[in-house]
Amino acid sequence: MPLADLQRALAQLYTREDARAFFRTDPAAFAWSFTLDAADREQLARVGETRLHAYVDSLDRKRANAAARLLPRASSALGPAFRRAFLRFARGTPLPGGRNRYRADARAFLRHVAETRPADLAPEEVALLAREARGLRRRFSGMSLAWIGSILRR
Amino acid sequence: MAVAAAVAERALRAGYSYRREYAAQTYANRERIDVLEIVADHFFENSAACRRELELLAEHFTLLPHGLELSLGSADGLDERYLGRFAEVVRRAGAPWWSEHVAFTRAGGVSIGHLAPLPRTREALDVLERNLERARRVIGDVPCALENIASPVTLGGEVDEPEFLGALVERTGCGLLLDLENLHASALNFGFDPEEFLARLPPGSVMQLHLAGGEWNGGTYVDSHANAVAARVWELAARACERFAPRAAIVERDEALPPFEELLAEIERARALGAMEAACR
Repeated sequence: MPLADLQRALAQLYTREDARAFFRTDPAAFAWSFTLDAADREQLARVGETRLHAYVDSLDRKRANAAARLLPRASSALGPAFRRAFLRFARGTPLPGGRNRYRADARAFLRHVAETRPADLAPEEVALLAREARGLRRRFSGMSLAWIGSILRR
Repeated sequence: MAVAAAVAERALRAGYSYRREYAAQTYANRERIDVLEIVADHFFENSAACRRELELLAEHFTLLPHGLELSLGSADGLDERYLGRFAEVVRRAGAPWWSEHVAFTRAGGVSIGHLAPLPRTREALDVLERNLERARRVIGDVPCALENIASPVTLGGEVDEPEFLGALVERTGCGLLLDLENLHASALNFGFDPEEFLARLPPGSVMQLHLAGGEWNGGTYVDSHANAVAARVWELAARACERFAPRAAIVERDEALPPFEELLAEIERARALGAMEAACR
């Protein structure tokens, strides 16, 4: 079933940075690992780096929009930094499978943010986080742990 | 009177792709909305609240269930659990037809989370035909409309897209859901004439239209559904109404949701296109 093989190869390219790196470094070996015939190898070559990048970018933007909707408070607290941090996270983490995948994605992102040390963030983001944290503390005095817990359980 | 009824029966019905954020305004303006498209996936949850929501919508509106991940183009076949849930929504919605995309979203156990284009080959047509046959066996005797997608990626094929869609309609007996924003995006990204594309689709094949607005991101035009319906899309809609006399037109907006009045104005503009077409007939 050549179409099934081509679709398997494309699904990996669309969703995984490691597959894209493999394809970039050695397209012939990548095609061989999916037992693609000459016609399908040509299909992959047609896709090309720029268009593949645009596809991945539109998938990541869709994930970022869904995460911002599911995490309205984190999104408004982080402002533009939310999107930047999410897109960095999405690059390295494929969208989970399953029915509630966008929720699982948003949860994984929050966990990732919690684990990232502030020193790793760009200086303006640190300043923004600190500013927002002060605001949040005022609004939710003593509630922040319960709030993060409630988001993680969603 | 009978003639008026017949005209009304054939007239274009206009509506939008339902969003929960607009639930209150949707019910409050129901005399200004002829038809609602619902994303079937949003009603898969088996909770009392979700079932009641669908029941209530079906009581007040004609519903057109639209699937996102049936993955009709998957060579691996359909996901039976998804298909079962989808069929249940179509049944409970009492829908006159349902729709899905000419695409695949799943392969080798990986769910892409996004519509991916198919190669335009005989093999892809075989897969679509086989999967549609299975889908119709489960969903039952409700017509189906197949939507053209927009993607930054395109695969090659033995034929071009209008010919591929024409062959698909002929082989499966399904209609088309012509997404004019997707057509506009593909025409910009791949440099072809969208009007010629319209002229080459079989007359009578288009049941429904999608209207939306996108935006440029880098060098790619993206169908983000984050803007008002683009001027070019309105022009294409007028052409499509003349040529196909579709039964419904749906305005889509997923991001940067505007005040509901703006959507209502677009719905009214879409309805007027149908009325103009009917008057010329």
